[in-house]
Amino acid sequence: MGIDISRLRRQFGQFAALDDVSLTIADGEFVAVLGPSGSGKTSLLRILAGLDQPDAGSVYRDDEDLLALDARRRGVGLVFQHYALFPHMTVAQNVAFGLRVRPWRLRPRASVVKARVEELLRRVELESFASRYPAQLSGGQRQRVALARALAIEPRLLLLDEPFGALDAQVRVNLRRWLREFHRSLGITTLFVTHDQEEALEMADRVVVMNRGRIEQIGTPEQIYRYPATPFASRFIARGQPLPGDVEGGILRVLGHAWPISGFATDGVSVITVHVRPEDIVPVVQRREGWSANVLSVRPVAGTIRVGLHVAGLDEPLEAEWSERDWLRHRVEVGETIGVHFQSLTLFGSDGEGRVHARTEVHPPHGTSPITVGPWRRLEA
Amino acid sequence: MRRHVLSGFRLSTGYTLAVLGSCVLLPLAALLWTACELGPSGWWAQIGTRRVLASLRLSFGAALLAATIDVLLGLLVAWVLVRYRFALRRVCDALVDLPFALPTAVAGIALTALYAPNGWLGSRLVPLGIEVAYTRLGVLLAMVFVGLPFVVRTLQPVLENLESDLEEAAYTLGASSPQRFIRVVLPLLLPTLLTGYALALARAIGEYGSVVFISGNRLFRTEIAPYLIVLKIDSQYDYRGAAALGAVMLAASLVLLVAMALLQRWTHRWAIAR
Repeated sequence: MGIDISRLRRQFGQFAALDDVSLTIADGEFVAVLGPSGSGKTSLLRILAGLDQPDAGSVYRDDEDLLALDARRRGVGLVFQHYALFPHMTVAQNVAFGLRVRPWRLRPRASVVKARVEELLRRVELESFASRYPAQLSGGQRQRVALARALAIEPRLLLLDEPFGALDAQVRVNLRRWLREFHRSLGITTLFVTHDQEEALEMADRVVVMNRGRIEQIGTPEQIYRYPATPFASRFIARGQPLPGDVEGGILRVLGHAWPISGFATDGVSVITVHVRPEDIVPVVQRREGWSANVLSVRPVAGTIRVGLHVAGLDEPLEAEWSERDWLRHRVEVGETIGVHFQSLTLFGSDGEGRVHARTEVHPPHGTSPITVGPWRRLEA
Repeated sequence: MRRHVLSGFRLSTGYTLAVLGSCVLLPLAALLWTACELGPSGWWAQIGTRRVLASLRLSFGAALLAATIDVLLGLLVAWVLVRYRFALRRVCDALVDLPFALPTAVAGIALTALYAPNGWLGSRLVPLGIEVAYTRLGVLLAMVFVGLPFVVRTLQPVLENLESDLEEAAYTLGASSPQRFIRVVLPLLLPTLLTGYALALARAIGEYGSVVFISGNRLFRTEIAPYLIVLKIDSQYDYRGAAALGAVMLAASLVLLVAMALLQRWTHRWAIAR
């Protein structure tokens, strides 16, 4: 059961915010909708919450037509990006709001409301802040109040709009773990929207990648990172960088090298895209082997080294990411010319409208050796 | 003290105090001084008459009522101008300022011409038993007219900045549309509504030009306090008597405005709290 979203379409003038979006969410699942701004993820959230109506399509929850229900009666909890706490109410009043506005026959007694608010504030670890106003709270605390307020109505679906967008990096990382644990203890079906791929990959059971109102890929974080289905997913999630490449008669040519490939049907394909991930660009021991590259920059970033490379025959610089240990063994200086090897390439064959018809992984053989080998460090070991 | 990027604290503050002192405090002090020359018994002789007390009652009573009406009407006007897009919206928006710009006597004459028993509206209302011109209702009408722009103009920017997020949050939490208005929108507007109320009230208490024409200045019935002040100076050259009445109005206005400021602070406590 769960939520069944089918063929949603939402048009704003000429701009298609949602273009034929279908998605099924299982009960208790934690799903991330990942995409750049303008990809339609917030439109999807607003439609699910009942703040907007689609032009076409349907949303069912256990055979109940969700779109026919008014937002007030949907049982959907929404946490806004900027929290939207009521500034004139205390934390406790904010959390109690959803219970106090119920029709009087369904409204719980004041003592019940009080107990429920206390319990929720204990859960979000804010019990001592009950009588504060939102203006007196930090960003992370406001976030948790907004969450408690949304949970007070006992929603069957929880929606989070960029839940960590407005927070400091440190608070964000802590809150991410906390929210993951929190979801595990509650088990409420949760959909959250983000543009931060790290956030989506770390937290979600399943990730939905969106671009220009379309779903590009749905899968577990591992699947999406390892096997991106489209050039967009590859670029956005795995930081895949384009290389000029061509496939003809079962032969792949990339920057002067060629290998036979199999399992890549080119019927109906007009555009070939070749992507390489930063961590798949590795230095080679023998400088004559692989591709010759000029080192443009070396930037250590939190345990990894990002190396900017200018590869011969390529206008755009490539970024390689090496572990600090690898880099210490194979120190390179800015301005040096080294040999690099692409351990793994992802190949996409798409038609003129951008639909992918074929994709495959290619592991180019190392140098002159006919066998595919791993990174150079494994060779040494 | 915090240092600011722009210098000139002493000069600008000194200048401000000098202007405030000479334009506001000095004339008011002179007023009190003149009033004091009467002594308590002389003062009461001026104020305690039936005619003066009736005028004070009318001035303050009608002003309080007019400001209340202005707040209700102003909220409606500001809401429509901010929330809805319709033809001639900009024209309507500009029309709001008219009572600001119009010489008050012009407004008074216009209202009188309209509501007089032989006027365009008056000739239709009088047969129905509704007399506006030369009655207290007329006084109220003129006061509402001059006070309205104050409420609309203070409210508009606040309404524009009111985040739609808050109303949407209330909506998803199950609040009906009256609940969203009463529990979320209204409390957020309340401090501003009070500011508008205080401004409209101040204007209505001090209003002279537009009121004296439509009120007809009937003894004990439609004489407002500012009219009696003018009368004392104009026909009796009684500066002390005028000052005594002026001092009473000054004191009452001050009390009202301080009360409004305190109330406003209280309704806005959630933003000041730290």
